[in-house]
Amino acid sequence: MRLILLAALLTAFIAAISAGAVKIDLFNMSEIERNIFLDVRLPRVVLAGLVGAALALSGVLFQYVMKNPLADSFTTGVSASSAMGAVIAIMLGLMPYIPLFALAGGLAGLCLVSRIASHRGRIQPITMLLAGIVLSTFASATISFMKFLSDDAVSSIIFWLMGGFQAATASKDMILFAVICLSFLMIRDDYLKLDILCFDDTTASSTGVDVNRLRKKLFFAAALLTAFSVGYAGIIGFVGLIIPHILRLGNFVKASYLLPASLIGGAAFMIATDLIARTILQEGQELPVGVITSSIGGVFFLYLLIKRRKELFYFN
Amino acid sequence: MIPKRKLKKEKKGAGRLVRTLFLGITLCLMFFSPALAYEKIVVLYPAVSPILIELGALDMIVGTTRSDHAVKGVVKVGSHLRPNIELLNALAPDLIIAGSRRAFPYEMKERVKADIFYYDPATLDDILVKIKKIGAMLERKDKAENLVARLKKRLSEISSLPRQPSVIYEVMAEPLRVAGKKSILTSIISAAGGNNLVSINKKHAVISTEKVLKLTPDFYVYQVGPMNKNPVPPEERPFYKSLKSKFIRINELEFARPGINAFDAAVKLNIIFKGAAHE
Amino acid sequence: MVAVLGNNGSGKSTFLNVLSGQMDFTGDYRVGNRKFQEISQQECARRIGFLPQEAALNMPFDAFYVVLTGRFIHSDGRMYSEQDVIYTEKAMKTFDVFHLKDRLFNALSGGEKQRVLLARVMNMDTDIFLLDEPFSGIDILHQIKVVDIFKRLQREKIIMVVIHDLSFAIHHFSRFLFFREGLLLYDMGRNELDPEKLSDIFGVRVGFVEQNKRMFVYTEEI
Repeated sequence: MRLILLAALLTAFIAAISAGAVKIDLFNMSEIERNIFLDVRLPRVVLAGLVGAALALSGVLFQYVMKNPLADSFTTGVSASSAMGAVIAIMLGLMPYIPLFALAGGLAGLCLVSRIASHRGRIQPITMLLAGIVLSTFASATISFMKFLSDDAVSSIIFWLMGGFQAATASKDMILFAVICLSFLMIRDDYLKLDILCFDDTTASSTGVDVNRLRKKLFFAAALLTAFSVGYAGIIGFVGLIIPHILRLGNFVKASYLLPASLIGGAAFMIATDLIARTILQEGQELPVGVITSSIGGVFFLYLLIKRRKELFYFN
Repeated sequence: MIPKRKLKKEKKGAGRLVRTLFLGITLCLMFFSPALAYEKIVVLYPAVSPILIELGALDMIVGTTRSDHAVKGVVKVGSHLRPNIELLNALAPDLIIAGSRRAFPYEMKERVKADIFYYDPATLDDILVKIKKIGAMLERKDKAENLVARLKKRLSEISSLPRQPSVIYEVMAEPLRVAGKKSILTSIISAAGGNNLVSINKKHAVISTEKVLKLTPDFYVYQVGPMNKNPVPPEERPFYKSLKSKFIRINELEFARPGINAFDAAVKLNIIFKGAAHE
Repeated sequence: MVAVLGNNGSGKSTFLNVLSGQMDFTGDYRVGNRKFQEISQQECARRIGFLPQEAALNMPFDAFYVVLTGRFIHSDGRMYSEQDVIYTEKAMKTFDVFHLKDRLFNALSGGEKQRVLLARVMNMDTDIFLLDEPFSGIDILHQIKVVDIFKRLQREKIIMVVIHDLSFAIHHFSRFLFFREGLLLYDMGRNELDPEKLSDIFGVRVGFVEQNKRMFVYTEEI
């Protein structure tokens, strides 16, 4: 199974670097073509892969924190509050600082949600989910309000929010890569604990897992991943939800399989959807990648839901 | 034209013969008598206000959008995408000048009594045509002719270039949106002696940065304004590192609005092109 | 082997939760001559195996893996060793659930789940076992098998079990804790049991009958 995933990633990567708005013969590039390939296409494909990996991983982590297969960066409010940060940056005309604002927004959201959800030092998943949804709604309302205030910039906000990898650069790639590595290192030794976290809290903690500390750590890592992804690529829905789901249906259920697989699966999925987004229209036009992830992802997910209801039934 | 259309519509609402007749007579009277020309105008498209001012119709403007800075001291009826219907009706205008049909759709038109004039020119010539139409509607044909002549004269200041420069016009940096074929900007660029390389049949198009590198325009014009607040200068964007184009920063408010300013913009752009040709 | 008895809401589960460190408490409590507060969570898990009344799992793990996670505290935290796998197989065979090892835990019947969870707790290999209603949902054949396992273990381990079936408890257990309204009322050996006290505890008239040298408990109409 792992091999299939890796093969999918490799195929997506090769397809993505060899196709695009401009036809490039990889083995015989002119100077312009080489510039296009190195300055535009390669950083973009890499960024798409990294954002996909980060979103899928953050989705998985949120699902562990919340004990809920529906949790992802949206339901926890982190995504929306990051977006709110980014929109504030757009409003103020501080375009170069969008990632910074997104990060600040995301972390503020994280603090707020975990603060609301902790009771006597313990985080309660259900309260957290509710707080997350409320925060999400609030942040969306704020974004709408800001859209309303800035009549002329409204389309720039809308388009930015739809997500995309146009502004990919090698330095963004490197920063995001570092963030993913960091969060992955944070949780790499916790695979067994993550599995035990899938039991009820009492069982988990009596087995020797410090449930609260683990939750806080996971939540932090996931929020970090989300905030950077949103800052670099806008809001891209569904990846954090469907990739882990598909993988679990494909029998990646233990954390030691699920986590690496979601990195690879998320990357492959995102590279492929971005490829579609930038090649489906003519004359170098582009679709926002969020449109593709939500439509393709949604349809495929629906298919799985119908086809494999039985397995899902035993989820809970 | 407009009163006639209204007549037809009223006829459709059959059964109320008397009222229709009465209205019809009133409208005919309006059509024939100069005293009954439009008197109260709401402008929902800011580029129109300077034209009205040139036509000496400033006093007729009773309402504008809140981003219209050419007219002071009148009621602001909201944004151009979402004007407040109550405010509109309270002003009881007899003419509303709106942008596109999308900005002021049919459902909205149903809810106000005034006539609607759509001002949505795609080229400089189109602007001249619309000016004449507005002049006719406001019974100010002479002034309109005058204005048109002046604008044409302004265009004649444009001098020919040794070679037609190629241009890409950035409307928004992130995501990258450029002016397409239907944009007034394409007309401005060609009036200035240039050629917009983007031939997509839309006003704006989101395109790949790959495509920009491939097209390699002589001039990469980027606007700064409400649509593109404080973008990273293109020469500092890593993916444009190898782009040899000349980067030109211009003010969105001077260029992207299809009004009188568009003619000055064309002249300005021509001077920029000329300056570069001399280098 | 200690049986913990009492009506619903009398504080049995709370008592076990406190003893296993799942609930804060005031006062003093010692495990192996050390104050409980001084014992870390890890050490606690190494010494006390706890089976809560209601366990839930929201990931489609197979039964074998569920039992294997009981070995967590003995693993290096990253991977389960060969040894852990051997222990797990043994625990599953002991509780007669080895044939279920590849089935999804959540697809098992209530009684099967309970036996798998019992195997999981036993797999923790602790000195003390606190089991909250371990017999619920288990058929009578397996109830006897399970209680036999407890009996075999009782020489080396402390096993404390919340149970409702009085006759079953009296037959198999030697020490009894009775709870009523949040208070521990009695701590008795089997010989000290008498119908008067039991009636008082449970709020219903209880009588004993002896048959084939076995004590049975019956209840009268209210």
